Amino acid sequence: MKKIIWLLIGVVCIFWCTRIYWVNQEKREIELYHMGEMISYEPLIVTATEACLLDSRSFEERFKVATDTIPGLEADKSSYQIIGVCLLLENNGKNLITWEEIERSIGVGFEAVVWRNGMDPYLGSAINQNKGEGIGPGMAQEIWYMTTINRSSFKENSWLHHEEQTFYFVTSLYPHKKWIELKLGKE
Amino acid sequence: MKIVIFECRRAFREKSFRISLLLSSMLVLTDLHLFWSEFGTSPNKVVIQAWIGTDYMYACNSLFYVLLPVFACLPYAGSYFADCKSGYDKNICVRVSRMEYFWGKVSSVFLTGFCAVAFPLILNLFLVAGLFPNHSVEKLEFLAAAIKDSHLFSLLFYQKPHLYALIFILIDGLIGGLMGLISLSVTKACSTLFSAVMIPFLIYIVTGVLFQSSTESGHLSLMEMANPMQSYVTTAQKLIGTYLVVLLVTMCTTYIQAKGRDIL
Repeated sequence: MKKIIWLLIGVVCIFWCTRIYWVNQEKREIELYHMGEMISYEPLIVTATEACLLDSRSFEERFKVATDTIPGLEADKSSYQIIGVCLLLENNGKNLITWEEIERSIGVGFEAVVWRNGMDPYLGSAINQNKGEGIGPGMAQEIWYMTTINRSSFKENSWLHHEEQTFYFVTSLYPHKKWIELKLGKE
Repeated sequence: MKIVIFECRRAFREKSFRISLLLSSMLVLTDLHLFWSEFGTSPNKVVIQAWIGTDYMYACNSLFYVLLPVFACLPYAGSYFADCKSGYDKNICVRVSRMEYFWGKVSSVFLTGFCAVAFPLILNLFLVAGLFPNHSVEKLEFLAAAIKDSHLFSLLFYQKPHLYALIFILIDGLIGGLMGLISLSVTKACSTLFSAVMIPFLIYIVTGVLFQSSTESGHLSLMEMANPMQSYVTTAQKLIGTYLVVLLVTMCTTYIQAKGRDIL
């Protein structure tokens, strides 16, 4: 009787191992883009033109905005840096694309190997100058998407070298992931 | 060596070992059932989200890691107390030396504690691996354990999640074994079998709560170190150091008690 039970357990285990193998055969669909490549969200076309990783002082000099006025940023300016990507949004359609529609379609957040953060809307609203209700047909506009990288997320050694990591901007997750490999500096 | 094999055979045949496995397995299967009921047909769910060690969505993870010493001590940790009380150890020590009996007891208690904790975690991982793919977790869904670079094995969590799970199963098994040894070391101070089995649980919970700290330097909670969710940041040195200190104290206490005990 015991032998039969052990045999049954063995058969079930072999079946389950086969199942594990087949479950892992399905590959996840991911689209990776690079700076300058066009990503289609018809009728919206998205192109990453520039990416930057700045400390607080460089951010203030570059964008002429005081970080003290932006809600949610740490008081200790050495405890974070700001990563951003400039996207060129082009409307190839015949109708206006509103900013709400753009927000729903693109812009999930940033990630690296062991780090991720969603977009910071306060940083974006501090430096983006939106014109009107959206992007008209045939028109284009550049928008910055930004977030903070906090020192507390890293070990001391990793923080000293975190700029050497490859960062990505994820434009959308569904129905499958689309993300852009960021090259820090202008295209 | 023979006494080690004898004690281990005795330990793994105990009814209490099967009861411990049954209870812990029921808990992990409950977690799996809850996860499958909610996310079974959902795309993008992966092994490291569904495995009980890193499944933060239900209470099963917290319950398992709070009850870890109970699962570890239930099988055989009270056997030393029972042997001393019934006089069974005298029968053993006629054939082998006191210290051989001591090592046999330590080995068997450690092994049963290790297996009682590791087996349900491995079972859960095995089952989950057949239901969900072993891909890296989608970080920006924010539906996984918030493992950052400052946490232990963060790179493994994102790149080889199954290895992350296996490493923590090993760590948890070792902590389970340690809980059994703590029970051995306090046996002499206990008046009942129940207290011999439950005192490690009490120590685990009290120190687990007292030594929690949000700062890396202050965190010494073994309860939090055991949990793969890593709610508090710790370092490998702290984990190994805490483990070795507790192991040393329990082994020394048990050894002194065993050496000093006049069995025959």
